[in-house]
Amino acid sequence: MSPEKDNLCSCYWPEKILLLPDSPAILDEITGEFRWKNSDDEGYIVFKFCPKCGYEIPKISRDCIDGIPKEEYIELQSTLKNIRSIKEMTKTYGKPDKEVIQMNYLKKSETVTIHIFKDCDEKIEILLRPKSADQKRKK
Amino acid sequence: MRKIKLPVEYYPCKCLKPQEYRDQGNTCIKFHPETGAFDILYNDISGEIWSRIMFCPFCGGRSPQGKYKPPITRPLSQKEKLQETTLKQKIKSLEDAYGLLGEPDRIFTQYKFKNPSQNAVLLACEVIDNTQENEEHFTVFIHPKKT
Ligand SMILES: [Zn+2]
Ligand SMILES: [Zn+2]
Repeated sequence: MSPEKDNLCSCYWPEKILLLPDSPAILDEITGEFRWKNSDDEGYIVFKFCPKCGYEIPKISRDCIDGIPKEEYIELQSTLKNIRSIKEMTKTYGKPDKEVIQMNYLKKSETVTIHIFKDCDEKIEILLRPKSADQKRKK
Repeated sequence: MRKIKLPVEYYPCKCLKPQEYRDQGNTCIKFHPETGAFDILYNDISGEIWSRIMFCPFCGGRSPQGKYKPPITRPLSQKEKLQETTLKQKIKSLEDAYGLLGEPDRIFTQYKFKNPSQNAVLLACEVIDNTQENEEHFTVFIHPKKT
């Protein structure tokens, strides 16, 4: 079965939702319905189409999430669950391999905002962007 | 290959189900009054998510995308171009930027972990927004190694 050929969702957003810890959705084994539980646990609504790519949600859950086996995905997710900062993340996964930084200065000038980028090769890029009428008002 | 519906395949959502469900408080469908679009509200591993509905989950039609308009831009003036050139000459590192311009209003940092497991990479995004009482956001995305 090829999701692309069958006009089925190939972005895997529905599967990612199903695999969330305490997922709000289930894939009903009998009907194949993708059911999103209501917040008060009274009933559910059925999603037929993927809200992200617009194609139909498959009625059987797939073993791979965009090339990542389900077990591997779940395992990663469980280690990430309580991580709330890069410091905590470094404790689990070590130093990141790449780092890209963007710094914005919004109030240095009346007419422009200043954007400074540093890519993973330490290269610095500087850009000025004209302020929109809206930004000028907010300033 | 990931595929997303293209504008030629769009048909507008006319089923009115998103409108119907969002008026029932206990469903995940929410109307975002600021943008005029529909969102799905849920919790993922990083916390509460308002995820934009691009296509109606009930009929597959294109959902209203709200009133967001990309800002109209104008080219930089001569004077501004000159400012840009001067900054480029003076700033060769982030330290230079701090020295010259001080603390930024917003800092976005993206970290990539290339080898957390056999088939996945992790992208972590950190946003520090000093315009909103030092608000900080941290989100992690799991992506396949080969895209
Ligand atoms: Zn999809
Ligand atoms: Zn619809």
